[in-house]
Amino acid sequence: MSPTLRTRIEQLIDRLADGSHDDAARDALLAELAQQQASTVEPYQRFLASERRRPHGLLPALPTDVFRFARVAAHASAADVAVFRTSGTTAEHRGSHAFAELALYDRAARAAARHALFPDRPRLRLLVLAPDVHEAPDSSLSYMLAQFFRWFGAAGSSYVWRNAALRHDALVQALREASAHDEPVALLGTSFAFVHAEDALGSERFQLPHGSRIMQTGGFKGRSRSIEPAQMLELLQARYGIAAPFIVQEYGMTELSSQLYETTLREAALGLPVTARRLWVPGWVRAQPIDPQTLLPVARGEVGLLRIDDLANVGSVCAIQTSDLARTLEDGVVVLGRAQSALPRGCSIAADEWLAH
Amino acid sequence: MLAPSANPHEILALARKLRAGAAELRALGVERIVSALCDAAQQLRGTGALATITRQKLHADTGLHPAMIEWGLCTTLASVEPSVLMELAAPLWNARVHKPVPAELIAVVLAGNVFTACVRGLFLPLLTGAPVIAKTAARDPALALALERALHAADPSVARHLAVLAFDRDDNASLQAFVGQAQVVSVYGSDAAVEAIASEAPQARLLAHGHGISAAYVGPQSLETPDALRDAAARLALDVAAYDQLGCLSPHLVWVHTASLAQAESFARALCDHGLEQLQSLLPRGKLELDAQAAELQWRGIAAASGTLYTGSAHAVSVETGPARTSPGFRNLSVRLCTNLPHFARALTPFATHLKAIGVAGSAELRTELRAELARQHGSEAPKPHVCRLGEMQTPGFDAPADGRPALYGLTR
Repeated sequence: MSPTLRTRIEQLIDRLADGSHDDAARDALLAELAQQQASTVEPYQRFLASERRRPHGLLPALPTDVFRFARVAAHASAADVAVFRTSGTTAEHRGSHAFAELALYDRAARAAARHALFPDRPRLRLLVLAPDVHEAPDSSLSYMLAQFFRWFGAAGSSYVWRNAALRHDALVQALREASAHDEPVALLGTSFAFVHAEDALGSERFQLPHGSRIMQTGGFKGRSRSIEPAQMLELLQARYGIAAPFIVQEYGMTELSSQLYETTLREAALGLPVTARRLWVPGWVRAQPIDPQTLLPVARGEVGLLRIDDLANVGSVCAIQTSDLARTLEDGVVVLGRAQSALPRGCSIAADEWLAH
Repeated sequence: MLAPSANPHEILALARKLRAGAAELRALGVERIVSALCDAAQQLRGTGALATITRQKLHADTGLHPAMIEWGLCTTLASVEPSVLMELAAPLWNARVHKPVPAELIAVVLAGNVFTACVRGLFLPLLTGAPVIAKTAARDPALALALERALHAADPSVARHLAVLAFDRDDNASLQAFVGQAQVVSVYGSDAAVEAIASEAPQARLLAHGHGISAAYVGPQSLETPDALRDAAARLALDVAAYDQLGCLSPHLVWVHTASLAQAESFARALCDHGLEQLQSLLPRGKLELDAQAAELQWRGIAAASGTLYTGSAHAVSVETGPARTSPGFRNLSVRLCTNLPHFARALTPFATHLKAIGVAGSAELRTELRAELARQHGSEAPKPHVCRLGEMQTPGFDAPADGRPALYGLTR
């Protein structure tokens, strides 16, 4: 990637870190970046040779599953400083995203989290319900949360999840301390870890100080019982005594470098009117539900497959096609869940079972 | 027939009533049963009100194109021939020694991926002289219900020994009532469904028709000339297009016997540009839900990024050398290379327990050789897939073996 393009992307992220948007500037940079990647990232090049549609003149987005079968990177593996992998049971088919440097990832992650998670306080005591980087060195979430410690963590921040299990006593103690000292905390973790906590905490309830917040991310993937988002929200409110607007979902994926957060926390934390819950899309990201037949954006409010164009994905491919069902809502998007396997329940074997062999 | 909202008590009462009438059904005799079954099939092939409504419902329930519904109905119902049924049933009914004893009640759980699967699913047990209680798939109950009605019109005395009903898959009380009286339970569906039902019917013999996958093989002679190649591609196209590739007899991968990538690509092009493209005008692909479109988009993306992808108006064919992967169905298929028959059989080994059918482009000798090779490599315990000619994977005869076993296997006591 040309140094000037890189610099202009950095400048745009910095300029839009306050939550503002400049779609024309973003789109111009995305087009330029995608063109460069089309000639430097071999799987994308091959993909584009076959996929000749150009929706509204844009290069089509690379499906996320390609990261499971091919190295999607503009640099040689010798230059990797980090390789993040999707969760899964078989290493062979886990998606991987290689990075030659993480500075831009950090810049985007920090700016988005500052805006959406910590708009009101420079630092907060963080309690993390996810593995640390030593336990999960290939998890982009663990990496990001470790950076959160540096950027946003106050004294007493800690991991309350270790060796794939909840540190029950550590969590309870930290929450009691927070209540006793009237010190708000941020609980950050995976959805399934929150379910484990829900099961482990039994009848214990907390009334955490105002300003406390929860960020949960990801699905359940068979690691805990599944709970519908609305029910999860109710459970978390009741368990921790945190008002609903202060409980948000993070939408991130290994194949991306930027994250999307629900809007309510920022609004509530800054004393603004709380509007409909949706994902805030940072100014350096374009998130559009598309019609998979035409690859064009669906009409406002209709359900399509979420395409994300992320300017921070400089070392791989910035245009990513997910399998997430989504619709736009006001200035954001609402993700409705992952599209199910195409094969109907019947006697046909599921694709993942084939792959699992 | 019971309404779909039948409660467990009603289901139990029905099951008991059916079981109590077993002797009555047997007393009717095989000729009468065969005649009734064939008449019912004939009705649904026609243009009467029931046949017409059934076609409309099938289209609405399955999303398949009307032409595909027609093709599926015609090819399947045409296989219900009196001579075939009589030949199949005769050894049971006419045996002088060790005469098999029909079950007093057979419970059949139907799957929802291929709408015509219920024809054999319902008729084979009846052919043994056993009353049948059947649970339809929630996704497409139309044909099973239509068969029941057609049978009633053909011969009410036979039809009263068949009951088709529906209840929610999570309704355990209904499931217990449904299988509790049966001596044999025949389950079409996922491995998980088979397991769940087995645990509710410890008294019964379980005939599991679980997860399945099918593949194809194109022998070297079929690649030798452009005509042979095109013929094999056309035949395979039908196997792929049938039921929009959603059945367990649908091939997801085809191995071509060549070391030449260019030759594999020629075959893939012929399959895409001629075979499947032609079928798109004759048997158009049905409607894809958004979920299916998402899966297709991802599958094609991988194929394009890591192999070669040919796309047609409603289908795609890839040539891939990486890990074998199934397609999402809906006429998406991978072409892979193999250097000989043992190589092909070896490539299938990880999936041996799930293999349902293998279509072969080549001679009868080649198919025989393949069966032997599969037995050698997969062991005698592994299920024997149905090895047939390309173009015939989706149209097994009414009397064809299933899961490597004779059609009536396990249905008698």
